[in-house]
Amino acid sequence: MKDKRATGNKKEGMAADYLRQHGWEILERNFTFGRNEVDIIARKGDDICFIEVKFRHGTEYGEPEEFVTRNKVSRIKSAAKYYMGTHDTGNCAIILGVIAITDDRLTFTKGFFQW
Amino acid sequence: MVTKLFSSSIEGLDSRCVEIEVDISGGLTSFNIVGLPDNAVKESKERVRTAIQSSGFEFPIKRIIVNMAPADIRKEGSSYDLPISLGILIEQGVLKAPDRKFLFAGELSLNGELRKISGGISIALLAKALGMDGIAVPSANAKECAVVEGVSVFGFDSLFDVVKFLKGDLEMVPVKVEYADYNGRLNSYDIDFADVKGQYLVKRALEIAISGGHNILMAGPPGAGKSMMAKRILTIMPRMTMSEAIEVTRIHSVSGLVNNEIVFTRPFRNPHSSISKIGLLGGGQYPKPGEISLSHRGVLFLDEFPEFLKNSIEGLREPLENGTITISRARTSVTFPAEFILIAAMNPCPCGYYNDPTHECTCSVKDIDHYRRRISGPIMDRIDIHVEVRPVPVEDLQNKGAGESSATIRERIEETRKIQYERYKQDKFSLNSKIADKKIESYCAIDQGSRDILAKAMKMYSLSARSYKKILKIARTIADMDRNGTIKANHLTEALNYRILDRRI
Repeated sequence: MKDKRATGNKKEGMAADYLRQHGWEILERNFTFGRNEVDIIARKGDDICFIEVKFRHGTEYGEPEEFVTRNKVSRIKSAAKYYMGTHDTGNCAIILGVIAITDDRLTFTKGFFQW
Repeated sequence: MVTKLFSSSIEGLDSRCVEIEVDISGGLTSFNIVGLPDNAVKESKERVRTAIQSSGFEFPIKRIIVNMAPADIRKEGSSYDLPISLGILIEQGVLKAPDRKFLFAGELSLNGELRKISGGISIALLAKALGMDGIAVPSANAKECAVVEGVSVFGFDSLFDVVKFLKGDLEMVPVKVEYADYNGRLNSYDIDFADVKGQYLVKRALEIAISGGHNILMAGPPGAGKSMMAKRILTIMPRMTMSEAIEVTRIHSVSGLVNNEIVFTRPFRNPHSSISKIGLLGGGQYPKPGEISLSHRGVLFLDEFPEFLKNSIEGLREPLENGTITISRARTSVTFPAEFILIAAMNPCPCGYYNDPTHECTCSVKDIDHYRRRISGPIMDRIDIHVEVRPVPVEDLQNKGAGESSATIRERIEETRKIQYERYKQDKFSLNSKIADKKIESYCAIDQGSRDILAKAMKMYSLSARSYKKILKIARTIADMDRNGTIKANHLTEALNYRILDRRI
């Protein structure tokens, strides 16, 4: 279990680096609201992106993106609403993003789901 | 800023203006369509998203709201794809809102091409009524829309072209259709009335029916040629006037049957007896025209008449009398035109050989009675001409000489119709079968001798008041075919003959 948490942190760090390189400003890491957690909240211009980071060693069980379930999305949504209530987000678009990492790729998908 | 574009929704045969409002703002990203859209409209979200992307534009990850006003009428169909995607692109600043008043309609395919929609001509008529500067439709609908004069119709192949046009990067001229050769347009068929051997009386009756717009019932044994002759009606139908063609095109267009052209030939509809009541008369939650409306200004041929659902046949009563059908549903009530010539064919009994000189009928009286009862008195009374089809004698069948060709018959029918159009040019009707009740006296005047004959026949065959009028109207048509200004006794007796069949057999 300890190992899993460590892996998660490492991959989320990779994702954050990737975002910074692409001009995103990291607002929060592991933002929690009750049982709902968002891995990364990042901002670029008028877009605020709530990002779930998913890692899989290989794809024999499916692509990492496939493991972002409806349930997970609704948890992120709750967290996003709480964030909007507690922070000034102005007229920014609130976007759901997924960063999928495998041993040989890193993919950032914006607007992964409609809320 | 909210972008507002115009589109239309079809209600019956008419279009209503629908405003499509698109707003893009911040907040939780979403794409919602409000304003009572039905399922096909909701699905347009997916088409619009992909079509915008495949046209080379970016689809915004923002909060998108599309509103369709007025919100109390149900929007159906796929023709809102085009205005919705244009609205989104305008909101994004890809192009400016058009400064001219345009009406947009079109379905998008996933690769951004525009697909054919139904009801094009109704949309063009709406644009004309509203005084729009033009309409933008798929090019597969452009010719059909351009029939309406006084509207600039622009036909496009893809969303990308529409955007270029609105930006001013693409020069387009309004689609024009020339129907100068319209009067010469006739289809060629590989069937002809010359194929029919014998059956002179039935052919005569059919010619009367088409000339004056009378309904006709043919009864006879199997194999006598009822269906064969009915199918050849197609080849003798008179040409349509332009205004009739537009009327017909409009009905067919709403049903999605028009192939980017105005309907040139009179419709000939031949539904199978398994047709449902709604299929025949029209209806549905959002009423659509049925077969009787699709055969407006043409012929509705019902083969094996008693095999049709009793309910459907009885539903023909009002349309046969009024030439329209009003369909009322909880949500709406619409009226479709249904001025058709009914041609019905049936056997005289279940086995088919009642009264046949060469076969013996094997039906019991009860069977025959039961069979005949499927066609009620009120319906029989509304069918002007009843004619018995006899089996063709072998001498006629082997006769080498061809009968009259369809072209000859058609020219004669057109001539007879011309006489009627001329006579009724002051009236609201144009055919003998539609003469208004109060005009019958003046248009169908008969002399004293004929009056006596008619009075005698009325008593002898106990004919109804409606029959009386129908006889006079048929006599009028026969006199016209004779090129005779007044109805003579021989015209009247022939007409009488067509009304008393059911009393005889």
